[in-house]
Amino acid sequence: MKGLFKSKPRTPVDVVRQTRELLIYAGRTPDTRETKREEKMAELSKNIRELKQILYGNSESEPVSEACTQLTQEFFRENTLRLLITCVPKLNLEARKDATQVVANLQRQQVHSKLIACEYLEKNIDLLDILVSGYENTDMALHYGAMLRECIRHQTVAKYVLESQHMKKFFDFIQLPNFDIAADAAATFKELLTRHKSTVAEFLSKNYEWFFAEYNSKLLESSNYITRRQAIKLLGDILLDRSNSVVMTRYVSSRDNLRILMNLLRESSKSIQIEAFHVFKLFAANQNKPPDIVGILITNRSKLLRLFGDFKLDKENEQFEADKALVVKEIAALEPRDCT
Amino acid sequence: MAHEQEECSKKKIQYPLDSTSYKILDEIGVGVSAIVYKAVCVPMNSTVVAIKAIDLDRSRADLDSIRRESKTMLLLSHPNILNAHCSFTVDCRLWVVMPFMSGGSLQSIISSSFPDGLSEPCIAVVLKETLNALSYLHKQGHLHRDIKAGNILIDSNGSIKLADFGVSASIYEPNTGQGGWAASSSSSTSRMMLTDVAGTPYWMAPEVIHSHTGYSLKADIWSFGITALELAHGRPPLSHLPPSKSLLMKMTTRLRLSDYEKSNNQKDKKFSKAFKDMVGSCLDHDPSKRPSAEKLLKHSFFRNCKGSDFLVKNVLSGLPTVEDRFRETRIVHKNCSVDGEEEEDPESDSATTIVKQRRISGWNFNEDGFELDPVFPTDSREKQSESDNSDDNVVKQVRFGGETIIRDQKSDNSSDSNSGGSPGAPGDDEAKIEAGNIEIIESESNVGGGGDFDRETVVGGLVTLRRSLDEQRQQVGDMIAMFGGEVTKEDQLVQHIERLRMELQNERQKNFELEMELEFLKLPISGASNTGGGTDN
Repeated sequence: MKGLFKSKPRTPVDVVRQTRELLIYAGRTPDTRETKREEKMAELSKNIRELKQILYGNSESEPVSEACTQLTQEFFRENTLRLLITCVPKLNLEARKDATQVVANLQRQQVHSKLIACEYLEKNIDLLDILVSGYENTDMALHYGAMLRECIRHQTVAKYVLESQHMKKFFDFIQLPNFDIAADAAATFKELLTRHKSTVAEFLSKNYEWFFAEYNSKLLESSNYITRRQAIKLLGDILLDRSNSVVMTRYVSSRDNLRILMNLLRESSKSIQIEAFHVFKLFAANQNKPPDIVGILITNRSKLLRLFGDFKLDKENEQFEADKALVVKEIAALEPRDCT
Repeated sequence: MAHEQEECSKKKIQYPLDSTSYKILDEIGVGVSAIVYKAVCVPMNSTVVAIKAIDLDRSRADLDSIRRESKTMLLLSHPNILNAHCSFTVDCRLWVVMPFMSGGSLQSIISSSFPDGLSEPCIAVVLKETLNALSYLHKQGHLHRDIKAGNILIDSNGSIKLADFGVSASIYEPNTGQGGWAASSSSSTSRMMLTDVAGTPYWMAPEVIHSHTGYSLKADIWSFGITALELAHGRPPLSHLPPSKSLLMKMTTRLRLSDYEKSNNQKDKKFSKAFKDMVGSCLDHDPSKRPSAEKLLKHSFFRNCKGSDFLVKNVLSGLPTVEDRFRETRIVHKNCSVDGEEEEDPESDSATTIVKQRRISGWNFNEDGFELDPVFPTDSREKQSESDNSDDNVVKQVRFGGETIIRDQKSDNSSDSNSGGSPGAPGDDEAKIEAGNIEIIESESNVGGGGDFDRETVVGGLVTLRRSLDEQRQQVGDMIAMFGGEVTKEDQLVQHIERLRMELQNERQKNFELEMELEFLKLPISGASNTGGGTDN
């Protein structure tokens, strides 16, 4: 019973084109005829939903790879991604979510075994500035945040964000009072610092001074429980990664860092204590401990040994026990060295 | 556009993000790692809110899953879904500020005032509203994964909202960024399948338990069907068994939900054909044959459905307040909450936000008060019905007020061999673990003689009785202690033993889970040929 003119289904290319036209329309400053605009915005939402369905399939059908490829190609042939990203604030909640999922999916679409989304972003890298600044806007944060996390799956894009001025802002985003936004920023921060090993190692080496100064004072010594907990966990992940061994060696040679870690070991929170232990053990296991580190460890020897004596995980863990035994042995065997 | 934006901003009235703006009035729920308060938001004209305070340090879930739950709640927008106003941390607690639903959960309403279930017109209203929420969720690509009466809340005006996205998942969200994303790209996300186990055992669909085959939105439909039974009878099927056992039963038998009394029993609840048909379709073992939420909404059962006023008149009037209901359960719960929680939720990794009052389900309500353990009498009723029934031996069917709605497709023989063959093994393994309950499983594997049923039910009943006696004994002890009675050395010893026993139970549980996992691994090897057809692609 379909109408005569609707019998021909629109191709993925048609959908992208129409979406683009509507996005351009939506981007214009509204004129007086509001009613028409509402209609067009509804049409736009429908088109974005359709893009999503082509890319993800629906409960009845799987996505067709040929259709996905056509869609992706058409999408990046012109500036659709920029239009879509800048238009998100004008969309309603459902369309915003659809747009986020479309952007996320496009990052993974390969055309002739190439990620053309990555190529596009490299040429339009300023889009990342828009996405990062989303954390400053309560309404946009979660949508832009999710898009951002998908985009930084591309190594070159992640490198851009890491080396940009935005990196400093994350230390504040993570501590925003709004839990959802702060947690989203923390997830992105973690992704930036763990996903692309060589890029991260290079970044940390080049930016060691300011980065760890901020990390210690703003995150590890934060008054906010959840900030400290996430920060100590991430620090462990970073330092224990083999690719960051140079950074690790440097970190565990600093008495200031040791002091901060020892304070975290004394926290009442079990989760923080355990994560702190995983970093602390690196200080103890370091075979080239600087004299001042040895000094601190000896001064606090009895306290530390007592602490580790009662230190247990809820679930038994052989690796943890072995680590603990090693740390205890190291500390017990320390000999005072001439510091002068 | 102006209109749309206005609508958006209207919905998002920003609630203050600091604890000093809220005045806590009362506790209305307690879980292992969360407390729910009734509170007012002072700067907002003292609007009444519910605050779920999750202890992040004690919560088993990692922060990532808490973040995802919170985000899901924030980004959903539907009249039948409970949204959070905002969330923020207060020391090591996460405060989630939500609208206060003054009627509480349907589960708490049933256990306090409708022990035999609600009337059919009331059920229809509740289920229809729940389906609206489910249909919206599914269209968004979200699974709820924990549909049950305890997660369906009602407000003073009779409006119904689905809550608790502690275990919800999105089929659009790739599995938490592990592994290479190129490999996990479109193929795994687009299949719309998830593979980790979540939810609460009694409501769980069989394919969720068989998690290695993956499951889809239809798992929620199964839980929805179980919830319908729960609303109709006051408890979910199989609830006389511990949760782990109910999982095992669904695994080892094709379908074994002969849990409810026959209609010739005194209660004599008559349900319409439409209702039975609707529930039956949800409980199809083949997920692809279960209707979608949207299709269910068009089912004749929901035609001429009453409105929310009907619930106000027939369910809410005369009901004790949420606070009072909670206080009632709490006096005795105080000391055994850990125990109860362990029972309740051993398999699920939801962990995040267990609200005691909302999560208490049929099986462990028996902990409450000095009332007779509600599980026991039904057990004996069932004994009666089962022995009535022992001639035809049809255990493998769902009975609904006496009428069969689902019959196992296979013949009795084949399902017998099913439970006696390789999947029966977990039962045997368990013999070593839970000495108290094995008889149930054991006798099932030799279903056949009518006498076995008697033995099964008698032993089952006795085991339950023993448990309930133990519990009551402890509760008496707790009460004495609470009223400042003598705390003798003996009492302390008993408590100590109790604690040790709990530890032991945990170990057993772990052991059991491992054994089950082992069984899962064995299954594909031994039974690949006869179970392989059950998956949907």
